Amino acid sequence: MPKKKPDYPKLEDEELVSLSKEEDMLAYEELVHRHRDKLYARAYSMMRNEEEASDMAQEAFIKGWQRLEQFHGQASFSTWMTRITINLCLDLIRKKKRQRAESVERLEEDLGGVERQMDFGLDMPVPWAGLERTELRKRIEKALGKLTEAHRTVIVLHEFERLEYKEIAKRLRISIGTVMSRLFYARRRMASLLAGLKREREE
Amino acid sequence: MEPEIKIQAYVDGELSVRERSKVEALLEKDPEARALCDALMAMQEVVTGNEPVMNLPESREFFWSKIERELTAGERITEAPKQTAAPWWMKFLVPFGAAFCLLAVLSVSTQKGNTTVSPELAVTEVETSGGFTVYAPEENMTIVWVDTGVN
Repeated sequence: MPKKKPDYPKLEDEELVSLSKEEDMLAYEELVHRHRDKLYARAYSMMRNEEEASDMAQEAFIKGWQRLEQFHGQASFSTWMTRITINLCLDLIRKKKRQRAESVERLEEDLGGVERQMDFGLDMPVPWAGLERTELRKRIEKALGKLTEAHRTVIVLHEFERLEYKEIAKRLRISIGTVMSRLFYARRRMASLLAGLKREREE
Repeated sequence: MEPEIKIQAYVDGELSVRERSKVEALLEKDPEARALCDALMAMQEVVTGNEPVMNLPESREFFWSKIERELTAGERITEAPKQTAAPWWMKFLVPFGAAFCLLAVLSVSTQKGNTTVSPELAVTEVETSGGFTVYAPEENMTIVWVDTGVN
């Protein structure tokens, strides 16, 4: 008797992963469909380019399939795939950086550094107070786009990916001190950008 | 570490218990430090919980088609074989082995140098005019010294 085709949309991720490990491409397609937007969003947060973000998400799914045997479910499939996406984005960022004659971010940091003051730029009530979540997310997205690549990367890794300082340092191949100062500087900038976006809207 | 960076590390939960208490003491007596801490906490809260949500601007079929092509063409990476731990004495094997080989070579060459007393090498020495020849049949080797008379 022929085996009944599974109802893929009704299966849990774990079941789809098991089927995918047995070369069931339809199961994997369902996983791709479920997680593609999240991976794309994460890649876009880092790359700020639709085409590159889409390529990174596709590349991540290809790598995910190839390495599925190495996935044992310690984390969720989504988390595992997000890590693969981030690594691919970091590789591309590094590659692009090598191609650039001079890193603008580095120059900016060398000149600016962390401002030695306690003022965080929030001299007004929290600028996002009372905002709808959708509106807030849009603002954050816009503010992320205005950060330098180096600062955006630490924000994504720390605030979205919830990585510890030492893990970020390892992935970016920088010191923990640099992670801390970049993160501080990035947050300051985010705060001032969010405040600026509020002012823009009110005017 | 700068105080503001330390306050940030406090907010991010990256400090040791001892350092945490130091920062907490600072926050109690310094209103500016307290304000920074509050701002950092608010910032962290708002960004962490509000990652931008985006939809891939491609249809399901189009996005999948490239992936499918690659999956069909490519091969899967099987799990890397687990490395078994080598016994403790293995690390001494190479240096001791090398030392043993060296001693063996030295011992043989010493014996070779002593050709006149070593019966198994059966070296034949022939004096010729203006030269000196040594033949070692075991090695199938002949060495000829030629006296050129130049000092």
